[in-house]
Amino acid sequence: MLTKLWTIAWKDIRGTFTDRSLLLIMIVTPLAIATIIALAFSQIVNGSDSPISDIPVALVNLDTGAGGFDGGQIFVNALVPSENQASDVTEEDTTPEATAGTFELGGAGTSAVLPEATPDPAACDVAESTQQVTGAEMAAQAGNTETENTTNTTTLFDLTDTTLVADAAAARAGVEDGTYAAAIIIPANFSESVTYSQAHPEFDPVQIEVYGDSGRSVSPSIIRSVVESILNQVLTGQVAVKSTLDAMIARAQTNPSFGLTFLTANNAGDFNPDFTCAFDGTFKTVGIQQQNASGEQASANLLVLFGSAQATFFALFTASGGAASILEERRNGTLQRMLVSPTSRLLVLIGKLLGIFVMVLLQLVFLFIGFTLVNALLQGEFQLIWGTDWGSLIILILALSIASAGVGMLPVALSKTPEQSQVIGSVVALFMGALGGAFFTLPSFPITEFLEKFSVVHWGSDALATLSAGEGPVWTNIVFLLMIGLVLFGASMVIFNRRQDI
Amino acid sequence: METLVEARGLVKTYKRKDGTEVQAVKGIDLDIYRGEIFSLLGPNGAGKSTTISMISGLLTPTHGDAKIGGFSITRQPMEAKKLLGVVPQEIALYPTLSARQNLEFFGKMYSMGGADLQKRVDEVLEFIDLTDRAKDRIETFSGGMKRRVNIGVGLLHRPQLVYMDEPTVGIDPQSRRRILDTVIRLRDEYKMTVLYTTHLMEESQELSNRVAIIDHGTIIALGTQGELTQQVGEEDRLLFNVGEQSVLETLLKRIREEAQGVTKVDYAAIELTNGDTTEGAETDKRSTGTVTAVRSTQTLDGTITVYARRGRKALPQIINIINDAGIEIQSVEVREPDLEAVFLHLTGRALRD
Repeated sequence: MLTKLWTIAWKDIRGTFTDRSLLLIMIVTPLAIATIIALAFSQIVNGSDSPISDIPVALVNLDTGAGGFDGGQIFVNALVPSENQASDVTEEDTTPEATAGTFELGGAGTSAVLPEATPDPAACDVAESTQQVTGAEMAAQAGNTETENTTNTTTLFDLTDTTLVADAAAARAGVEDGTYAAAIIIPANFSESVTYSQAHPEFDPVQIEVYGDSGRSVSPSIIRSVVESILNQVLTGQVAVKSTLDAMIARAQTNPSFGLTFLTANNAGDFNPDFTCAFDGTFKTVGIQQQNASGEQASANLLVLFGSAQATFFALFTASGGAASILEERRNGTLQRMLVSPTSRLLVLIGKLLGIFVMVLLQLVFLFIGFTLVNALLQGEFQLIWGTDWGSLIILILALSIASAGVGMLPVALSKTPEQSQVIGSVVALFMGALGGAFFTLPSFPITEFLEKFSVVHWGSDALATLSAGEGPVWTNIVFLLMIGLVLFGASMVIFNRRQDI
Repeated sequence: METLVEARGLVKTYKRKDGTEVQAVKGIDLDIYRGEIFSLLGPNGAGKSTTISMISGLLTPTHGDAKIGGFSITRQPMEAKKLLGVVPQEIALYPTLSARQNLEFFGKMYSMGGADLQKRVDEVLEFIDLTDRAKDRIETFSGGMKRRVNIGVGLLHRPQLVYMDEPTVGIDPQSRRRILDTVIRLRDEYKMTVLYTTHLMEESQELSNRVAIIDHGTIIALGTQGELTQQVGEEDRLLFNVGEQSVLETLLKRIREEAQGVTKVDYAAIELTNGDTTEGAETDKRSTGTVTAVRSTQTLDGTITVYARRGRKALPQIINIINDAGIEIQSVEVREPDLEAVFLHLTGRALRD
């Protein structure tokens, strides 16, 4: 039985991989498309080290501060170089003192004072704490190992060309007329919403508006990520302050001796904890490495991004074409010839499925090797762009092949002719490709977020990007891919069983 | 005689899109004896293919069963299929594979392998006389060569029963002759049983030991050719070629009335229009007394056709009558009743209608 299975599968595999035109479509086309798109986005051809840089951004800081805390200023410091700030917005105070202030601790009048002057680097027990909360340092500390000389590293200052704008409407107009790729508008109540005090113990929901130019697909997304990262950092700092002060107050309430000392020190002005480091990036939980778009990383990531999507998208076409051969064989009479031999229909169909599975598997392996080689050619050095988690990568490719084979079988089960099957298969592949980001990034709507869960391209490319970034297991993706494959193959078998002609 | 194929009460019902049912085969009983060539004849849509598909296990009967070598095709399909070799009407081969690769592929579907398979492939290639082209792709073969490989695949596993579905369709006369000889060799040399379908009466008459005629999903006649023609009592046809000579109605009437056993007399002639040689300018001018129109535009001859029981006995009488009329007979042909005539007699229409 296994010999028959492999005979049926091998015949299809051999036929496919000895057909030059098919190989052109299966291997060369996705390699070429993904490479061209990656090159177009990264401008690697120009040899630039910073292919994505100087994104024009308008920053509108309407934040009025709260209790001396000015969260909006953190954004200003992160995105605008100090000389730029000085020249563009004279009314803004960009010194570290601007972030200083008092946090009300309660009705007792006790207050903790954030530093008015240069903080003590050792205060937070972090060796590389810095004096000024800048995007350059955040970027450098986010994982770039070459942080000694930040001027040689692409930073947020390099990534964006941020201009402070006083009026939100003017900033939006600037986006619309193409002056800016995006506008960041910080609302007046930003600091108030995220400031902790005993009277205001919870953070309120607050929205920072990122107004993007829809004509630029990448830049606004990058800016949005930058804003999210900085915002996370601010919140992390506030949580650190809250936790520290809560702990001190709790201790003061349960330990009279400590409470007395604490109150005395505060009344005497001796209690002067330094919380600056909570905002300087050292404690941040969300890195912004992805915004630190150095040439090498950006080009590799784009090749992975587009390559994984194109590979899975074209794998669906291979599966669809392979499955359509069932109907072609029926038309040519070879299927009937197999069925009048002592070979069951189930065995024939499983043999065809096995052939499709192996074809897709080989295609993906060839493509991933191909993308790695293309990347090596472009970068001048060999890199493992798909990560080093070989176990997960192998299981993922197997799951992707099973899912693609299942997706390929269903249109055949529903069609009467190979042509009909090819059309349905193409529509399904395009649909899944679009949902999976093979052509463009879909806007995030509830319906698209729901539908993309049915896309093999989505689960596949997402898992590959995750593995490429070394961000660990992709079991959810693998389980979804296997479910899609097995459910669709099962459904196909039920339909085949009801048909008299196959 | 030992029965190899036994079909009992085969029925196949299909559902139409509107929910109504149509019976393609309405209860067929059939016995095929070991070592014979058995022809199944019938016009398109008669239920011939459906019957064969049920016997070969491609379709499941709605009712009834068929056995091959005692194995039920519905209950023991794998055993039954091992005894069956199929030669379909279309060229059911992989065009990008060579003749040898095609034979090997289908051999493996019959669980053959190793040296046994290679030996058998060599034998089949020799049998179909394609040993020297074994490594060539099928797509490079002529129509006749493809047909031979198509037959070879069906014989590879040494089946007891070979089903051949119109294997001579669309090939040249030389290749056709070769295939017919092959079929006869399968019976006479290899003692195989052949189930043969064709729409060509001549093939069926030349090859078959027995014939079943099927129409509207039912077998309407079954037996040897002699039994079938006797069964319907069809007359002989006597054809007298008189060339361009004029034939009067009085002559036809005299033959009809005076010759023994004559039931009907026809006359028809064709002549080309003089002076016009352009294509399509041919017209037929019928002389008197015709009953059956002759559509051929290739002859210039006139032919008197006489239908008569025991026609050979009436032949001298008719020749004398024609000679008396001053007409010189150029040739005479006696046609005994054939399967076409049997079908016509049984259904009232020609087999190819």
